[in-house]
Amino acid sequence: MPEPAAPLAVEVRDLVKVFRLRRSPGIGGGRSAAKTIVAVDRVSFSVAQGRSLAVVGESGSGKTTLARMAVGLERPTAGQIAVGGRERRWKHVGSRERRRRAREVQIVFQDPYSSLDPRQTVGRCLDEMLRLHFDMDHARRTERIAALLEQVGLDERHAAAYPRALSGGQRQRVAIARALACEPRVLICDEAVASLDVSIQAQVLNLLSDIREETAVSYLFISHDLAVVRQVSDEILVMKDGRVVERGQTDRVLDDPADPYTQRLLAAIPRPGWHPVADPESDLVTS
Amino acid sequence: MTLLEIHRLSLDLEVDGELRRIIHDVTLELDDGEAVGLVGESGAGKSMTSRAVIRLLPRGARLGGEVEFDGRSVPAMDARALRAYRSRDVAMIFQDARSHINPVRTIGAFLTEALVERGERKADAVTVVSELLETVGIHDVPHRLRQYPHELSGGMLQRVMIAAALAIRPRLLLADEPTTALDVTTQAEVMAHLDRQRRGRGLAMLFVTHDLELAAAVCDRIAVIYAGCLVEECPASTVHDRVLHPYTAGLLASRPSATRRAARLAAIPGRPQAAYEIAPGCPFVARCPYVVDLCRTTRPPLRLIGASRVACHRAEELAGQLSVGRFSGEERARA
Amino acid sequence: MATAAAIAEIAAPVRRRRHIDPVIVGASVLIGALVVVALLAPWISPYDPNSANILATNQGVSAAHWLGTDPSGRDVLSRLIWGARLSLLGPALIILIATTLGTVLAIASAWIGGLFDQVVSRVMDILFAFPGLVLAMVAVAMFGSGPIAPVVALSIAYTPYITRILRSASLRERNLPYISACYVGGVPARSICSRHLLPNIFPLLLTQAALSFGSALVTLAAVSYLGLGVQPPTATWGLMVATGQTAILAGHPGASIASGILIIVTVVAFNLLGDRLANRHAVQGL
Repeated sequence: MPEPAAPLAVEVRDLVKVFRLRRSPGIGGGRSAAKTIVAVDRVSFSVAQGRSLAVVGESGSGKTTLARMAVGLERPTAGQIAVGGRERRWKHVGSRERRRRAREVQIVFQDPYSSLDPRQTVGRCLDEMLRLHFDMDHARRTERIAALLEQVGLDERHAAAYPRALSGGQRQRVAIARALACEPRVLICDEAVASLDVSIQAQVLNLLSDIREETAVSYLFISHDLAVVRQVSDEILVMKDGRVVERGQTDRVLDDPADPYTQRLLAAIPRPGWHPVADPESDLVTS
Repeated sequence: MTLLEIHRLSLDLEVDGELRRIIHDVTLELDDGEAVGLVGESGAGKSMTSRAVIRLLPRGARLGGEVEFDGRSVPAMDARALRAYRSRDVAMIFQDARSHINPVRTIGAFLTEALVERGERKADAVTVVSELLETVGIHDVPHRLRQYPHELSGGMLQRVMIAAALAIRPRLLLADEPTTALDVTTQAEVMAHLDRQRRGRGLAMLFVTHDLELAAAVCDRIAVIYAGCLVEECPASTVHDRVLHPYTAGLLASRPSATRRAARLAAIPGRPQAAYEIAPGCPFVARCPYVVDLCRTTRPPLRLIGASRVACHRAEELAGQLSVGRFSGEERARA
Repeated sequence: MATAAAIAEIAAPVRRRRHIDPVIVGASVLIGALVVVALLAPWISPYDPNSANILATNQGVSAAHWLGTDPSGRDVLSRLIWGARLSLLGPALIILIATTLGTVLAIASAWIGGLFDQVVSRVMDILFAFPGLVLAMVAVAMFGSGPIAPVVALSIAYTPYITRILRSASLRERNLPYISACYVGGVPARSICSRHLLPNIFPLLLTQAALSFGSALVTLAAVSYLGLGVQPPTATWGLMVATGQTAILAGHPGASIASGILIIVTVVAFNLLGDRLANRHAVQGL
């Protein structure tokens, strides 16, 4: 565990994202008034180098929008993001600037089936990143690709494989290797284990904690799953409807949640001796 | 009394012109009013098993073995008998409610359709479904009945689906991952309603899920399926204390806990296999830490041990020692 | 554990057997054969396609003239063989220009989005309003008859069809995480478009090209038939249908029918090819 005084890898201040919906498509409901949705509402947090912060929430909480802004896929409506002490600009993001950002923040997406180019072999996918960011000759790149594959628990022979020949878990490993190829300071995992089978999920979670020990990368872990979050994060940020409702050390928040929403989230997780109960508020009739 | 009896079920589907095995061997019984959780990872054949029960299978599917509902053979039913069986005896709840409810018709029309179809008066049908919607926790029923599916949230739609399933007063519910697409708090809510209604009405349920904990919470018995083979069946109450198959133990150990951080998760090595990928021996042989020679050559039959049935050659000698330890030991060997 | 498992997996990779579709093979062979015949015309055609013989007009099938002669006494088979050149070259050029233009516009629209996308879409909407044949006739009226004007006009007329379909496909691909990953990885926009987007919409591009080819061939034949395209005595299939017309009245439909059948067969071959490619694409997309 790094010292508390470790330099900040990411610092986010008062981040806001408002989406404008032109009209609500659908059958029956004909109103088409311009609607705005505040997806992220003044969220601030920071992650120290080598630490892991989990952003937890249900669908619509704004956690994915937060991740997409952090990685540059979405432009904030207001607020600042600084990575490695450097403030993000949002105008004129050219390919040179994007290349620099790539060395700072990388992301692993949820769906392993659509996050790899189906027409690119694993080796070429990693090679593309290495060529772009490092001045390495062919032999060194091949060596590095082998090392990256090994790091994520794959084999050199997988380099020649196309994604379709790989299982979901293996694809997710490749996606992690691609992210690591840029040697970023921060790795964002956007529900990166949510669509994996339980047995594979455990493998990937173990892999992620190994990587953290080996590389001192910081994690921003976006998840709806509190059990997963307990396993991978030091600190936790609970979001609901775009706002932070609770934050703190993971163990503290999960052992002794202060906010009623966090309590509800925890109470809803199936575990030994658990029984589902309906929220009395949304339940008028008893049988 | 036995309501549903699945005996040595096998299933082949045609993929790219060749037959592919989806289910090898599933034998399972459900009593009246009993809930059984069918648990497995992707490609294990759990969904297809539940679909085989109502013969809702893709074109070119070849079914082997026997499925009997209340003493009647489902594969042998003619079109009329099958229709009657589907509209009165069993009801299915799907994972994706949104794609199983006609988007251009109102919730009311969707719910009353089956009842009107079988000759009930429209007004009576509306009364019935209104009461049902209330029992699954939906307020403002007259308004909801006039709404269209896109105006309802996923959790709400799933409750509508449950009401629709209950409306035909079936004896057996087939629930195929009914809450997998929902948020965890919504899942708890929907499951609570489903569970209470099922118990209150004395319905039997085959609950298909990948979530062993969830199944254990709402079912009487748990059946674990791996690569198209039923590997263990045990009372839900003992699943945490006394499992007999190494796969079940591995599943329990791989899932992180929300209350305790493990130094390292006990992952089962390798990936889940599909039925057509496995060799003649035990289906779990490639991932099992307890393999002996016999496992590679002979597929273990289901045997009764105590209150459980288990398909493992070493079940007796391993009883009580199956633990997280073995898997995590394997994990550490790599590091 | 991971290594052992990985080795076990690579030993049994999920290999998808390529299913050989007899229709694709058949259509490709037929089209290939037509192209070969067109290329080899000077060597394989039994007669000079333009040498008229007043003494042997409207002859039926014979050992000397396998498909008979036309009203000017020219050998129908030779004219079909020579006619294949322009009849296939015209649509080929049209499709080449239209797909190139359409693909570039589609990918650029999907990638840049915003105003650029809107302008391109509106221009395409306007072009949709003009049927290809009308556009070709206008072009001939403005620039005179001959092979060039109709080809250019039809290239423009076919561009919106290609653009529209490829744009929606590009848009779909663009929103997939693998493209986002490239963007986050710092890959320059041009490389993302050419090395990731293009290869992934290529099967669809091929399908559209094949389907449009058949349609372009018919439209170009119609232009020839109307006498607006290539001028006599040069042989094209469309023109042969027209010149054979007088003979039909005289009870010798051979020349028209032979060229008509050839047009139909070629178009059907291209349509089947496009159709099956589309099916395959859909299946693989699953």
